Amino acid sequence: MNPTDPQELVFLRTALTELPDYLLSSVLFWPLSGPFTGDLTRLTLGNFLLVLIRLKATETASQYSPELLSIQNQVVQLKNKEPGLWRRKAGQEFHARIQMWKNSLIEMMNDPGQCSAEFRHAVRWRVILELLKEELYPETATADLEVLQHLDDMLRRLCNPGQFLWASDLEASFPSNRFWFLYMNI
Amino acid sequence: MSSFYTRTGDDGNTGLLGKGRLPKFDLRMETLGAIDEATAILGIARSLTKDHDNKELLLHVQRDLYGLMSEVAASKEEANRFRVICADSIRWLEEQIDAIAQLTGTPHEFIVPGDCVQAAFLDQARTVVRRAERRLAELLQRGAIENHELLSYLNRLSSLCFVIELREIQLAGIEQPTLAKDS
Repeated sequence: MNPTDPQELVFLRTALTELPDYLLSSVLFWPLSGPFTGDLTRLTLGNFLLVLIRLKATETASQYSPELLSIQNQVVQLKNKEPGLWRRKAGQEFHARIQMWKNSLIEMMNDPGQCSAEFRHAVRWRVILELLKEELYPETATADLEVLQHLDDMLRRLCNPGQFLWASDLEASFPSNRFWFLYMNI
Repeated sequence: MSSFYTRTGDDGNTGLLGKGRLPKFDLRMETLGAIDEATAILGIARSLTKDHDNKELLLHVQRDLYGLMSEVAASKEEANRFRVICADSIRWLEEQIDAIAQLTGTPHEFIVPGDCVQAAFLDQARTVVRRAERRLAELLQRGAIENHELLSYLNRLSSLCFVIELREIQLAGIEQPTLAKDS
């Protein structure tokens, strides 16, 4: 994944205004209107949490920090106000991302030639799964958590330890004990 | 000179987003033309439907197609900069298909279009999206573009057109779509 870019902050701002409606809706991959490209054209809790942690990692000492802290506070407030909606949505996305991650791993196993490039992109979903794990009701996601465990075992067999995959200024926010898959090479 | 024409394409070539020009009959231009055509037909369907949800949905799709066209129109080196279709966009389409299919059910036989005007236009859009999908598949095979998710998006979009067509028929008060087989 590239280093953070200005689009990520615009994504957070836009997404924050739409989060309350998003939590109430039945849509999981919520289209955002705006000049977004790449992986940021849809609001999901996972995308939101990932961008938040990435920006906090790179911009703590910059002019954006107060805004990021304010966004984070608003998120905490929203989460406390609607814990059920928040956790339900996180669980739904976790389920959907497991499928995406699983399909991607299977493709990588079937096409070793494209593995490396595919992994660098798809590992984003594994990071999102890690972030969502903290947000959902674990008791409602037992089956999905078991699948993730199997997929992790598969990934460990497929990969070797390597350098941090993303920009180095993000490394401190994605420690290797929790985000071990970001320190792997295929 | 009017901003509605540039004269730069009078030699039969047209510019890419990024460096390079192509003949207007190039496969990439054919693909773009099919996507453009699908967007226009979806616009007719959107203007005709009275259902707010379908209106919103079709508008989102039209905007996605606008972005998709930019990526297809971009040179290989520039394509990433214009990328708006990702795995999440495809999952969103699948969500919409599943939600609408729950309302309409799935016909067990082929249907013939024409039960109401907006549904007929959606069927036409479906066939044009299919054509765009075939052209794009060839572009991918030739290596002219690299994002396979564009192909998945068009594939799901044709399914979405079909379920919205069914929904429009249902909303028009027609009990079931006309079947292809005369039973």
